[in-house]
Amino acid sequence: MQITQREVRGVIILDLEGRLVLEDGVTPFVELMNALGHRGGTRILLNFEKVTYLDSAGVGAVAWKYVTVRKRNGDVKLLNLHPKSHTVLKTTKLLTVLESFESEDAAIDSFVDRDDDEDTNPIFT
Amino acid sequence: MRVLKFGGSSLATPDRIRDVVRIVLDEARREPLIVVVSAFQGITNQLLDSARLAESGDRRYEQEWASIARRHRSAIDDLVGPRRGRRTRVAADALLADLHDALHGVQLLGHCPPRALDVVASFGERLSALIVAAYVHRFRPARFADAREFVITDDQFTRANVIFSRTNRASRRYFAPLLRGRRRVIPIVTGFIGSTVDGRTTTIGRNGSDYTGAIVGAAVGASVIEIWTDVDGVLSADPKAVPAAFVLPQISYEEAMELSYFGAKVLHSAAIAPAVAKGIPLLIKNTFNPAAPGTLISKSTGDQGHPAKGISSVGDLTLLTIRGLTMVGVPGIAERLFRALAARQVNVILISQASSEHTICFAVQTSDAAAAVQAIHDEFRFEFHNRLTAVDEKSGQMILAVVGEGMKGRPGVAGEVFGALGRNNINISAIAQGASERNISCVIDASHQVRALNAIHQAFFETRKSLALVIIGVGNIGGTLLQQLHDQHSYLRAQGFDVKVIGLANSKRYVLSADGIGLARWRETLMASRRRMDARALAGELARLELTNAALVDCTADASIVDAYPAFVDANLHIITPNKRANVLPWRRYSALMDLLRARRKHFLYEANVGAGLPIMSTLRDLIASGDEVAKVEGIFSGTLSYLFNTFDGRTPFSALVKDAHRMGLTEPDPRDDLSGQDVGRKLLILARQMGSQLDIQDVRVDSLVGVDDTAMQRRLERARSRGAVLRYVGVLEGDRARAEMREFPRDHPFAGTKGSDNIIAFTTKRYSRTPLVVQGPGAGADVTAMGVFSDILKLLHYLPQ
Repeated sequence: MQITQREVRGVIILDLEGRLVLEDGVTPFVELMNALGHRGGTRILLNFEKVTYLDSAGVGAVAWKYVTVRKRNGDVKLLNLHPKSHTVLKTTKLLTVLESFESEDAAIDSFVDRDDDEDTNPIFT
Repeated sequence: MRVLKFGGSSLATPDRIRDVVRIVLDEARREPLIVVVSAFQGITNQLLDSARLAESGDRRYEQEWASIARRHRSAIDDLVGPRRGRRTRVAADALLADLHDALHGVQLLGHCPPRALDVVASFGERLSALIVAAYVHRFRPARFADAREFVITDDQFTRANVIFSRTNRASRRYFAPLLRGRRRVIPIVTGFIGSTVDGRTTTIGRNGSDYTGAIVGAAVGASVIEIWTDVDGVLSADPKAVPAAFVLPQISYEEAMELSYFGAKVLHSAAIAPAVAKGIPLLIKNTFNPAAPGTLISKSTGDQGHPAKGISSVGDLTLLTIRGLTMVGVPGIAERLFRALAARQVNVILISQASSEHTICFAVQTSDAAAAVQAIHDEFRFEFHNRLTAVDEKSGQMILAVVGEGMKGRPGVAGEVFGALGRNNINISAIAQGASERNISCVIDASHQVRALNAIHQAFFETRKSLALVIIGVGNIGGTLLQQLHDQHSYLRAQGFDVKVIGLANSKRYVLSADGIGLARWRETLMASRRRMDARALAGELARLELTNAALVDCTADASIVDAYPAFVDANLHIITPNKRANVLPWRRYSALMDLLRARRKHFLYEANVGAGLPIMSTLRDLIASGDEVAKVEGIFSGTLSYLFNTFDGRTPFSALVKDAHRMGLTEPDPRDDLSGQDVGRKLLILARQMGSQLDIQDVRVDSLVGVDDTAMQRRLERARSRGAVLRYVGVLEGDRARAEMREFPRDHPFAGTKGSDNIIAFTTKRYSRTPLVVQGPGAGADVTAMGVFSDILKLLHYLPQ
């Protein structure tokens, strides 16, 4: 798996290319996410446009790193899920929580707009 | 076509769902319906709790889920039956499995963003609509309608905004085939939920099911939107504070919004906006009392003769006043103030500025007060530094709002509000009235909430006058009074008076019940009480009840009760008493009590102090009030002495007559109390003070008969007879001179003709100068004294404002 890193308006975009599976992409993905998430407050957009396959280890890695980054006050969102990846993530109900977008601009806007707003739940009050 | 919306409390149990469906089927016979349902009672909270638990990694979310699943499955079994309900059960199980997975996802990722929360919360309505639809379908064709298919919103999760253009189109498209022709079905719509354009689940805020009802009703052009809930309609006030609150048959949209803004619970103003925009009437109905007509909310106010429609209140406020000379005539001060407050997200609830511009006063939630004060200090730091501005903070305040279309252009409404509060000793800290004149708001101390709401309610809505009595002393006079009140209950009601006894006390114990004490068994109720009598404790307890229109009736001769009068007056009670002690207090204490009564606007009535039930005090008061000049008041004021002198003919010694009278119970326990003439002296003092004199008891000259022997009395009698006269013991009040003494009266004088223990009092005035105005009759005895007290109660009822 190849991972290209770029930054738009303070959001780190990882363009993933290839298979995110146990024997291939999971390890470099986890290492890169660890490095990025380490400093805290990092906003990461995972672009799945060129991901050809996602196995259970890949789903687990995404979920695991989502939790790690959020613990350091960062956030992770998904972009351009293929129907196949979408189905896998939907089946595991992770998409109830993980936010996914089909447009890069909308995804980046959502980081910027909702930065302070994410945890206010008025229906709890 | 009608839209019927049922809230969670209407769907709390299968039996309640049966009641709901009975209503639905009944209405469906008349015209096509759309039914909107909330989640079963308590389910939304349970769903949100389970999401919180899952987010924090607490496995108890599983228990919550299991409890939610059990409740819905058991409702299906109960309503549709295990066999017939198989398809419903499968559909519900699929929803419950999805809910479980969603919660599991939240638990795995340790995070529940608003988006996920909306998904979790949506299951409440989806399950309830599914089950209600299945049950209705047993009787008439019905269909589960998922609002996410036609209520289209933006992605502000947990408080999504409805996109009306899309929603209206989608709703019309969705419902048209369902409501037409022979294939008509009853759609059972999920309240509270919607979806974004790209299909993500959203919720539209608490009260969202009302909102769904209004959205759908407006989209399809319903003739009426019925909101079925657990109260009979919109009430004139909160019934917990105002027992006399009643259901308003009809109010306007604006009145409904004003009332809901100020705390009325039935509707949220935002929730009815779509119906208001289309002019669709809303009908508030009670699921538990379908026969009640409910409240119609429409364009029309449906004037029922009341200028005000309702009274509402918002509590827990702080009133802030910014003041300073630099504010006078300087443009932009208000702009600076409110900009600074807005920047700190402080919501200002009420604003009032005096035209002198010296102060600006505004109310905020107490939780915002610190931020507001800080904002003011930051914005006006120059002015504070130079001591040109100051800010005052008054916490523990509330806003009381009187709402009604009929107040517009009607003079005197504000006066009525402030008069009612003033009569009940409630100070107003700030006032605001919008230019619409639909609402008058005032800020008062929150501790007076109950009293204020009741005072205004009485002033605007209650045609009957109510009076709560606290009777201390339940012996001869008090007991007789209670019997009279019991016997005359129907008469008083017929006169428009609601008199109830809320407190009773004897020297040992007291009992208090704000709802009233049954007079048929008052003795048992008092005997059963464990509260030890302590007048001040009783007054304190009464103060906490925040009473309006209440009176203390002191039927004792006890000085300690009189000592506590100020505490009762402070508790907002009028005072009625046959007890003479207060009226003969030393002048300084007496005048202090009178000043307090005046300051608190409380009545002090004591007709039975003189002449028991005879109209002595009221006659004197009326003579003075009508401008007559009283030259002399003279009379036989003692029933005991009246009897003794009426009977004393020389054949029996005077001392033997006293013994007989004592035996017959016509004297005080110690007859010297009568013979001393002190009681007559006290009555003269009471009359003198009523006439404006500042006498004290030592200023009244009293000739005592104690120690006068039989021979001397015999000699006085014979001397009087030789002059064609009789002996009488009288009290005479002339100017500032008061004396009580034995005197001779010619046989043709009215005082000579008295019988038994009669009292007789003659008023010589400018108008009654040749022949005095004479009042005569029995002046002692429990029956007539209680009647004197009763007449004071009636007087007080007449004095109370309508």
